[in-house]
Amino acid sequence: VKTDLVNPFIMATTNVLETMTNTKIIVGAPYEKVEYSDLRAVTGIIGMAGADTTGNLLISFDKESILAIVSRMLMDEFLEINQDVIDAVGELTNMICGGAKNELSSHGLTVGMATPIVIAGGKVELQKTPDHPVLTIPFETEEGEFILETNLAQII
Amino acid sequence: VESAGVICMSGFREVSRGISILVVDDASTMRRIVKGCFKQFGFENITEAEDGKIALAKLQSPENHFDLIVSDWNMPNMMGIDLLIAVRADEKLKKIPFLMITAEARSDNVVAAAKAGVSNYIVKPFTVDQLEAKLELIYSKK
Repeated sequence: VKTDLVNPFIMATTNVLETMTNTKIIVGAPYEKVEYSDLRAVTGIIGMAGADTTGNLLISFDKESILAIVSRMLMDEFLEINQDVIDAVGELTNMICGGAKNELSSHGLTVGMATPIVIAGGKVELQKTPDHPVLTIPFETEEGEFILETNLAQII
Repeated sequence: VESAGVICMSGFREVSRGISILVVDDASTMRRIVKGCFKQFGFENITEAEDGKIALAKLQSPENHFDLIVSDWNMPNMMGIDLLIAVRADEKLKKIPFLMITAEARSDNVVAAAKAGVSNYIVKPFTVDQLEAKLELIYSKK
């Protein structure tokens, strides 16, 4: 794995959490994922694509860490994961990805960012995109149901 | 120096804590963070707008009066840069200090904002102290 593609995410995470949330973090050694990982209490996901890049960013917090982080970030005490915490994770995901994008662009890589998705306690939230709601489309099979959600917007 | 009816003295610390501030951001979290910072500085008269279009309507309403605009760049409906251009083109609003907050650190963005008449520019993430330093620069120039 090219460190040029990894270090911007470590730097951006450290910078955003230390600057916006006054949180001291210790960075562990990166390892290659070989199995499915369990999501923690709140997870932010964002898609990235550019002329010469493609991928995703996922950041998953346990309950204690995210409640402490958001409490410091919003200068208020949060004891449970609520809509404010979910919104804050969306914004943290945005800022971390934005920071990594800025760093990657200094290495000559162009990265476009999608809007973040936040997953918490079996619930998922897609952010509204400009002038466009999130649409849920229900489907049925003979055995059960599934849904598709999209918030794709045309940017003029 | 007179700015939209408010007497500004030698710097941000001298600015009346009664001034009216408009915080513009589509992300409720960022609006809350910026409001929290201003409350820490002693300001209470803070109004929020979710995008540039809503902000411009509030600014142009004869019922409102604002002394400082703090706006995000990337927003739906009307971007921060377009809000800035509209404010600077409006005789009644053009002197209001305008601080842009953005995730975009690209130099062409900074140049575009400077050309449009931004009072200062801060890149996310930022600390309370960095925000205060930018406001100090705005008000010490006035």
